[in-house]
Amino acid sequence: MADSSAGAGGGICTHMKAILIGLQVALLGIALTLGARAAAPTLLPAVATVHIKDFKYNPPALTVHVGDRVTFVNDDDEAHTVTATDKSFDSEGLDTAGTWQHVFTKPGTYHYFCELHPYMKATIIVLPGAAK
Amino acid sequence: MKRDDFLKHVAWTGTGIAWTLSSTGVFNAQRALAADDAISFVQMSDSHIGFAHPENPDVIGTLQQTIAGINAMPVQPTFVVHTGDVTHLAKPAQFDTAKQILGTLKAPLVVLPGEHDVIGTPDAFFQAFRRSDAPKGWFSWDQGGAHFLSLVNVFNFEIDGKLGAEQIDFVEKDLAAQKSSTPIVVFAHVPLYALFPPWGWTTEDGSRVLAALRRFNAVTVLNGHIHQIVQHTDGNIRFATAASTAYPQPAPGTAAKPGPLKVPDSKLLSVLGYRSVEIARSAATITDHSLQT
Repeated sequence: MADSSAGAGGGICTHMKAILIGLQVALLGIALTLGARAAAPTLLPAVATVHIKDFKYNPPALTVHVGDRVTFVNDDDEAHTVTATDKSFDSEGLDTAGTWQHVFTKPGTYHYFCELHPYMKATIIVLPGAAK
Repeated sequence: MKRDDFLKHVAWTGTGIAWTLSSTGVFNAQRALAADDAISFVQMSDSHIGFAHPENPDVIGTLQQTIAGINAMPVQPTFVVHTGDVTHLAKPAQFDTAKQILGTLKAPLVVLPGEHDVIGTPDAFFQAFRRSDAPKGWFSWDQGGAHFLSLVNVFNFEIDGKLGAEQIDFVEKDLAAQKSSTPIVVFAHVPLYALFPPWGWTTEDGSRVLAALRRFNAVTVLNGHIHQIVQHTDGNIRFATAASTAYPQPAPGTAAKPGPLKVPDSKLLSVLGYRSVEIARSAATITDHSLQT
């Protein structure tokens, strides 16, 4: 019978089960909230910071040297990512006010974009040797 | 069983009714239902579990309110479809929370991913909601006299929503096997037509699917993604995007960019909600319900 294909039926839901699930959800909610608060990472010294604001990476092109650490800060109300076109680095989801750091270990030109808004694009050029 | 009682029974048992009928042989009742040719379901969308900003500091609470509203419906829907962005950042913990809350729905649940559910990889989404009948994420089924297609237009997300050639081939073959008189219902996260391309509110390769839908008498396309209700009719196809359960977004072109929209706290529940849909052979009835009581 095709009617079963929308998935497993619910229906047999005792009050106790509902209460237990409610409790679990409430506890998870608390854990998530605490997790979000505790997640603000300590920022290490970086040579440059890229700010994400109004769906743009600023600066859109940045030059650093091998071994340099770059900080990315999401100043937008919307979540973004910092994802290399060649997938060599990926911040994963960066929430509002979220920060992410990456150390560039190989020289080259790295194009990156936002997986949630792929028209957001920018470039980081990594030169060999330390700048100092 | 009198018809009134029978209808109450339908309300209580949902999809189980057909089995009850075939095992007890109350064939007239079943035909009576088939003659009505109607199926009702609920759409909810864009819950963004993990979002915790001033636009809605309690997305868990508003999702729970949504589910309470659906569970309190006097006639339970045949199923509930969540049209994506279940989570905000595709974190396994966010999926766990969402799955627990969505598990309190009385009706069966169908979930398709939004781009927020597949950031970097669809693995966490599939771990939470994989169906054995949808190894790639998209699938179709027949129910209540209608044909349903659940599509994914957030993989290989580039500028806009994108279906990809493999999925479009599946849709074309799937639709070719349907009678033009069968009501068709399509779910996808991002709008399938060019609702507002400057903000990416369109599916770049959606036109082939829309072309394949043209020969049917009645098509309903339901999407999420834009966190607001927009209805649009194009020939035989009726499009409707759904409200979010989490936060609204600006109307197309009324802000510099899309994104969470802060409304006065007292107004928030009035712009969040879910919708019930009844599909009959000749018409689709779409009713939106806000969380404001």
